[in-house]
Amino acid sequence: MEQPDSTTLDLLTRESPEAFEVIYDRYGRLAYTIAMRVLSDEAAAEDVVQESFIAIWRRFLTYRPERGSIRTWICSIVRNRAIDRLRGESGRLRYELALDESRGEPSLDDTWSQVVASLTRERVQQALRDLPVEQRQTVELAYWCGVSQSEISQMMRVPIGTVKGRIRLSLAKLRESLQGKEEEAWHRP
Amino acid sequence: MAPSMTCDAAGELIALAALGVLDADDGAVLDRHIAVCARCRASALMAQRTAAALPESLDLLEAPAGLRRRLLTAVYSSAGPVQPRRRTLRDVWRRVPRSRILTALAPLAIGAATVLGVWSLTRTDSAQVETFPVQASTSLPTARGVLTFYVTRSHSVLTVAGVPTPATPGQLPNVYEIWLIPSNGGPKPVAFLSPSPSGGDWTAVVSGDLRGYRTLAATIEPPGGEAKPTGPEIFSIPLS
Repeated sequence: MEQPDSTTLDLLTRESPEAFEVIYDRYGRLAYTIAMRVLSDEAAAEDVVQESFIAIWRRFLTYRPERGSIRTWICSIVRNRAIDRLRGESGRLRYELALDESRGEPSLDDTWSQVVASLTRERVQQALRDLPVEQRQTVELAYWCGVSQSEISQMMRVPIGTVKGRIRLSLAKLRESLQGKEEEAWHRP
Repeated sequence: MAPSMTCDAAGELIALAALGVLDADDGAVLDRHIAVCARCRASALMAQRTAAALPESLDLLEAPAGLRRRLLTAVYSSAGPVQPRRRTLRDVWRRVPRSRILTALAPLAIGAATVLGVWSLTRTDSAQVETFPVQASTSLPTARGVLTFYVTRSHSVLTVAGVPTPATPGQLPNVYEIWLIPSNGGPKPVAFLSPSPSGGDWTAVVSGDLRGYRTLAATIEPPGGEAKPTGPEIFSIPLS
């Protein structure tokens, strides 16, 4: 999850194809994996990754480092395009949180940034497995299938308030779980 | 301005937004709330970061090699010379010397820097780019195109039109394989032609310095290509 060096990002803003090559080699597999997770179709996933990286190449100046890492930005572009393709909603207007990561929040400690920097696949998988099954399913329907809260409500046959509650609880548990594991690791001899 | 919703209600919307399933109307209400509520803004940042960890749970798959080739071909084909970064006042300020001697020389330094800056911003890379036209062969007389060699980058982009989709003798189609032929020695396989994502043209990116080679050639080869040319030549490009 290491951010590419600033020289690579600077070169990419100046339309350097070599810098693009570095970015693709670093995030291409992750992008393809995300597209496959959403679409379960090799040809469609390949198309989505190709469209996404061409968009990244053409619109790199729109990347705002203060709003998150380039990895998060790329993941978001690929996932959104894959979901649009899955649901046949090209160009759908989607709300996204646009928070300035660099803005100081006195109530936040630095623990989480260290958690994110040290996350491993096994730990995130375990944190997901630790969720109650209905919460995990709700998160997966929302995040990987782009299913709205009302659609989840119909699919799972629960009131919409329950869907909202499950999503809120699951994110809180995931955070606690990931952060807790990090703290355990620090205190391990 | 007072928060337009309760923090409890905002908490539900924040979770939905972090997972990308909040509609735009509710999103606008949430934006107004977190603009004035530091606590909810902090919660939203946490929720956003937690959701961003979800892709990390996936077991990585290998992306198809052809995807990388097509992307790089498209990008190298569309790229001009790397744009010089705009100089900012801060860049200039950092260069102001602090010692007295250097301060005395500052006007000269600034003058020289100005001349150099203008030169670097106005010069073109035309001397660093060489182009070579495609020469069609009798087996494919419609082939036409150009090879552009970016000397300083040691990369070349080949763009060819008038080339049909190769035959598919079995389950997979044949390929157009690109060879570099040195002045002394046998042909070296360097790339495959790929259909351009925008359609019509075929393109290939050839890495490495072309100087020292006398010809670039393309042949039809079985799926996966060959280590040495076995099929008919469809075009060539003299590099001298």
